[in-house]
Amino acid sequence: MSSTGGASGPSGIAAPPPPWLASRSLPILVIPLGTPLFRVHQTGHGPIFFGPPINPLTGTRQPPTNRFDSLTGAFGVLYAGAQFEGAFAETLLRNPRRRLVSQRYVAQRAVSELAADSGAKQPVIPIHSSH
Amino acid sequence: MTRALPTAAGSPNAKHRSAIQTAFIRRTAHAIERLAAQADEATLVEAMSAPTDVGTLARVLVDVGAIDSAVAEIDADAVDLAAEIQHRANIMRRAGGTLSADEVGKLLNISRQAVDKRRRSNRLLAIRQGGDWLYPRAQFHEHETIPGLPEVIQDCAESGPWVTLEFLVTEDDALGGLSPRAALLKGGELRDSVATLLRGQSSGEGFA
Repeated sequence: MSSTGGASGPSGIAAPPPPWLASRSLPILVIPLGTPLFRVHQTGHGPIFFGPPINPLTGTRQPPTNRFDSLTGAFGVLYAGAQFEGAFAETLLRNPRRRLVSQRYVAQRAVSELAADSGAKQPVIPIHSSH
Repeated sequence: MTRALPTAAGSPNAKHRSAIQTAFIRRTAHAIERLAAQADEATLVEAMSAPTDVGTLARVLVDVGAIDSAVAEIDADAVDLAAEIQHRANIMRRAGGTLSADEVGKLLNISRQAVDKRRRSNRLLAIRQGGDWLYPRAQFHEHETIPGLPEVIQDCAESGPWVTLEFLVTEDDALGGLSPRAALLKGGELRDSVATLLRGQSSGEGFA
């Protein structure tokens, strides 16, 4: 899920897309009313958050951090999973070779269940990678 | 295993033990005797290959706990705890063991006080064991700390030193299969990739 927040799409020095992309349509999915989406986030932040965060001093987004963040900061991304287990694993158990997660780290995070209401048939982009 | 109790009782500090210390030793010694009786020879031989006495105990606990459903059902937390101890021993082995504060001072050619000061200001990674601070070798390269070490310690601070050390020495697909330690030593774009991982970890709100 992405939010443009002013600018319309990536710009700047990002690498050009591969040639095959021109013939592909963007796989936008309109989720049915009430479909739950699960999001794990810091308890101090709201459940709706498009990152990376914007620096209040410069008005620009902080550098890309997560897998599908905009390289140029032109749009924000809200990460959510169709299942709680997926959102939990992607945020707290990212590297399966690591097995330690501190209790304090978990305690400082919350899980929110999001659902599109009747006034906002939110289009989302299903994204996948080899990770 | 049964030799452990007479040796402990005959130690110089035996006369000064409190009642709770004595009770602890009796109870745990009894458990160790039962473990030795339940485990087969191969398990004991494998456990004895652990580099530390704590590692030896953890390996037997995990093995016997997995086999003996009674132990696992009555005290599942004990089996989980033993598995975590074994995992921490594995992390420490991959970290190359530890140095004392004096040894770190000699390695970096700084005073003991300077070592303490760096630890307190999150520029050295240390693990508290008993009354001592132990410094994992993985944070050093030759006579220096690895590049970017303070940033790693600072960004992992909320999770504590064990999580920090596991992060430092564990291979990561996001770094092309290198550990953050190896990536920081290689430098260049890999160091930026480690910084990105740390940002993602501390924010913990997106998918990496």
